[in-house]
Amino acid sequence: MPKVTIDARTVEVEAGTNLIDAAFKAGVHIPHYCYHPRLSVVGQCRMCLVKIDGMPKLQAGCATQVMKDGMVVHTELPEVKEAQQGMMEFLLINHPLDCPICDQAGECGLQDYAFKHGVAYSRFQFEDKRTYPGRERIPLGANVLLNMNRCIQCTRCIRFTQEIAGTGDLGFFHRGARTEIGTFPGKHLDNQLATCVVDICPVGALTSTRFRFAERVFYLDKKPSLCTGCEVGCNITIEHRRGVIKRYKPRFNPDVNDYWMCDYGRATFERYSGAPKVPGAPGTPEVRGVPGTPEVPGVPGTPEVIIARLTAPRLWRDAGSLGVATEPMRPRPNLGPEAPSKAGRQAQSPAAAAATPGGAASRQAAAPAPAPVSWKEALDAVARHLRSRSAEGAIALLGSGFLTTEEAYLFAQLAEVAGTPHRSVAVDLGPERHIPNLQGGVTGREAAPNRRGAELAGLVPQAIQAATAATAATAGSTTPPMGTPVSTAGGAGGAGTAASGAAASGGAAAEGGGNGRGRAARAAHAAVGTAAVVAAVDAFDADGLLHGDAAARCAVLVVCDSDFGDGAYDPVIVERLRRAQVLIVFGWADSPLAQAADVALPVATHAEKDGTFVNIEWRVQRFERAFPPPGQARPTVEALSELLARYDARWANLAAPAVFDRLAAELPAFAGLAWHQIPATGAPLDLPAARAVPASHVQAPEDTAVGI
Amino acid sequence: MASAASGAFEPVLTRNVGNPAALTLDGYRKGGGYEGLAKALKMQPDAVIDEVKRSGLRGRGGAGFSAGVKWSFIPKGKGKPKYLVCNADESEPGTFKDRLLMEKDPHQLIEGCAICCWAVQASTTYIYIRGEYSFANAVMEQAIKEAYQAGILGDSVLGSGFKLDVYMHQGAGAYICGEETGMIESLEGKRGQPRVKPPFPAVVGAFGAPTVINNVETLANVPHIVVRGADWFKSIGTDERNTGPKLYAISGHVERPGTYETAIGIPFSELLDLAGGMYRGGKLKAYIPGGASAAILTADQAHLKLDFDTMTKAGSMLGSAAVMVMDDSTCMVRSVARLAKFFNHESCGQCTPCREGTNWLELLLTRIEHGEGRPGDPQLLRSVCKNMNGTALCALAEAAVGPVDSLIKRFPDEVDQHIRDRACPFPHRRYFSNGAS
Repeated sequence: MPKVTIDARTVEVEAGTNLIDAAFKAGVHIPHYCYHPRLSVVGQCRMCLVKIDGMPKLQAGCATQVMKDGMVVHTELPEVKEAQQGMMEFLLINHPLDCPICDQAGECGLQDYAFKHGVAYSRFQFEDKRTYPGRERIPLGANVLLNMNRCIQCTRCIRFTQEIAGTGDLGFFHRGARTEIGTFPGKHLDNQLATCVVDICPVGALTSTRFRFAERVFYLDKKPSLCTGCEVGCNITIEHRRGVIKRYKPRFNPDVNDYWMCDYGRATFERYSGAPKVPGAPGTPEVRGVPGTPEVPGVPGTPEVIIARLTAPRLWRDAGSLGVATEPMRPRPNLGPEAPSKAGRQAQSPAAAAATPGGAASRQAAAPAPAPVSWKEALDAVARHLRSRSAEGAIALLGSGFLTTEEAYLFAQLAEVAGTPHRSVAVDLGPERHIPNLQGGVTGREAAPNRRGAELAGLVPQAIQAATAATAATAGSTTPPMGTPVSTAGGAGGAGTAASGAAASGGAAAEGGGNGRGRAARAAHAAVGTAAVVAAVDAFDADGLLHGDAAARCAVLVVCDSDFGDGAYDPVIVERLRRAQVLIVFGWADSPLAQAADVALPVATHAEKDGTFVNIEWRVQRFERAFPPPGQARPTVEALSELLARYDARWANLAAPAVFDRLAAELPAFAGLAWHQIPATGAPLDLPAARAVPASHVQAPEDTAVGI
Repeated sequence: MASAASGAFEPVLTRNVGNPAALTLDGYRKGGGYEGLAKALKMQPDAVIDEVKRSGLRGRGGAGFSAGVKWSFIPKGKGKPKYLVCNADESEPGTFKDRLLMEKDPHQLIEGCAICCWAVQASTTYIYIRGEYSFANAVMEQAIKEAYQAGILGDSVLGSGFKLDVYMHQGAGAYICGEETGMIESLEGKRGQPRVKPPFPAVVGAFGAPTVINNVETLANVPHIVVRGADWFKSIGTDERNTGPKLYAISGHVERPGTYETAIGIPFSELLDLAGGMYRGGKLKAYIPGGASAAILTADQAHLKLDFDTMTKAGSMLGSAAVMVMDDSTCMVRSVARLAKFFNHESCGQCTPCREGTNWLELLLTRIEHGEGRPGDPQLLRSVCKNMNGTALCALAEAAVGPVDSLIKRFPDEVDQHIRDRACPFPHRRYFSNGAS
């Protein structure tokens, strides 16, 4: 590899590295605006001019590649400084100097370099600067606004839409000093990655409609985390002020999301932002305890439902106190010996309530308001139910793709101590999202970040595990370890474990919707002759609970956490689940499901806890809490640890790192990993399924390079 | 569009001007047309390149780079297709020589293109013609059609089996599309703005393939070099480095403005005599030797030879040899302000120093011309020029700096007088108050 000397520091770089990257490696920052490592080099801003020995003129660092040994570069010479100062002056003469009212102030490339390379006075003494009247707030698309006055014409946004998004929505219009950025007539900046142009805009020309003027950026606390929008697992920075998330920004991870993230993922912070926006404010009696309300408009899967879910309020924060609803405060007729018949309970379904006017109201009048209790009392109630009610029916545990791997592991342990095989993960499918990176990109379909991790951690019925093992054995492959996923959504995974003969039917079934995966698994096992086992056991899996009548046969149904998908906001599904004799819900949102619970336990969002997620490419990624949970909400790991300690003292006082190290020691899939050794870019799991993934999920982007 | 030759000089490029028969293929052939192509096709391509190299032919578009050397940069062998792009954009203010060549002798250009294509083994020529040249375009189209019918272009050039297509491509009137990479972008159907170099067009040019780009006049010289030999070509001109015939487009305060062909390196004063001397016997004040982007020279420098090296040494450039003559009734500030307005208008806007600098120069010069200049303005102009010079993506910023810099250097008193008197000392209308001048 050739060596290059930059300001007397010599580094070795790969041939073809440009000088900005080489200097970065040498610890020298060459200022630049238009250059971006993932976009084509255009050499337009001319900020990166450097002196190279043997060249008569200054050269643009971005457009100069290190090809052979011996290049000597200077960035501190007076002539370089003068050129940088000159470029700053050119950029600023027509730029509005109104930083105090500009939303970019504090993270503005122009501001930063003006301090470092600019001068404090202006030689541009004319009445008017160049302005673009009427072009101060042009909506380029739903999520991005343009203020042309602030633009420095670096064309990063144009190149992004051409080369990364592949849509070519933006272009240059007019020329010279009147050059403008804009969309083509009749077109909009309308692609999944559109808001990335706001991130790469070095100045305040492009702003996000979701964030602009919501907060001064210098008041934001920034913590690295992961996006929970889907199974891609984009690395993000959570930017919050005092626990109120203001925005997500993508965080560089070349193996997952590169520099990008999708607009949907960015919007998911609004789930956690806390402002009640749906009808039926939290804590009001007409909401709690009556299935079918609040009036979530639309039907599951429609945009209305998704919006309602994104904007659902935090229950306990707004209630102000620990509003843990436990059994005594909401005596439901079915809980005691005097419980009415199932027919009686079903009469309270929304349909029935609608059919009998005043039905809901009369029931509401009978239900006392929930009373706050302590965590100890709430967990006591949970433990009591789990111990005492097994004779009355099945005990089922319904996990969520939003659980961290550690939570899922403890949740599976809870199933072990409760002696129930009924454990599964509920996951919704969402629209397909493609995040490009250098390997081609990652495509996500499931609207939850960690279904794979939850299944690896043991949230899979043992009967299915056994059946899978048998399948694998008959197929002649090695027996998969416990915790190996049996199937994956989208029909892509499972290649290493599920019988190949069943894969086709599994894939077809998975198209059906959220919990088609359960159906796929059943189909897989039916294909190898374990149908009887599966039918007997599997009915209590996510599919059976959400779409069948399994919940009605449950003595205790534990849902963790409640925000497993749109189902928690779907009146029909809530009604199904609440037919369990005791419904216990861990949740961070005031979802209708949490409101319908007999015991509701407020837990932390992902921003408020530590954990790991396993993404679609079987990469374990660690995240840590950005801020503490509000009120008396606590991380699920803590709550489950305290609950499990009632069975076995060795589970007491566990936090996520300890749980991860414990599960890594126990589960072969995580063998050799330790919490503190997971690299910043994540650790790929070595699984048969992981090796099978890239072929089906990694797509080559279209060739949209310009200038070819 | 007068054309004349000095008594001693036998016209080469303009020999068919005044001979309308040469517009047709037969007429052109009668004068020895396409003999050069026939001869070249019998030579090895490399031999053609060597001959052109040996002749010392330098690019007539402005930069004066050796044509033969440029051709030799094209990678040899099969692989990507190769292209020749003929630069007929001729957008430098004051230049009108290529138009003459295309309108009066279209086959000469086609022959030159064909020889060049054979030399670099390119199979396609694009002639990128300035959009305003609709008549020249029609003439060229007609000539190309004839050449196809006669088997000079097409699947087998003159029966040699060499395949060649020639297309006319009309520009839309942007100065920046005369810059070679800007031209390529425009040719590809994109916004006409220069590319970052390297890679140079010889490696990655039109449609990503190796591309030669030559000016019309350069290519028009090629058939003559092939027919008469490099030694004949070298015998014309001032020295080894400045050879061959040259067209000078002279305009401004002269009696007979027009295009004149002489040996390269004619002193300015002799060229002025060819053009009939100063307009109405006026006194020479200044002249621009090579189009709007060349530095202005004063009357003291009238003895200088108009060739590449002499002009460079004098701090200006031969450029496209568009000589603009100004007598002593000319306000230099106003003239340069007009040029600055042109460059501001024509800047493509992609790179910072040019986009902002040309705008600033125009504002400053207009202010001075309006009598609103401030005492520090000359220094400020110089400083802006300095920041623009050598920092921009392409040569347009430097082109804009050329006249401004020379104004400050050679006519400082006139600038100071504008500022001191708070008015333009020359009697004329207030300078382009509404954008017109």
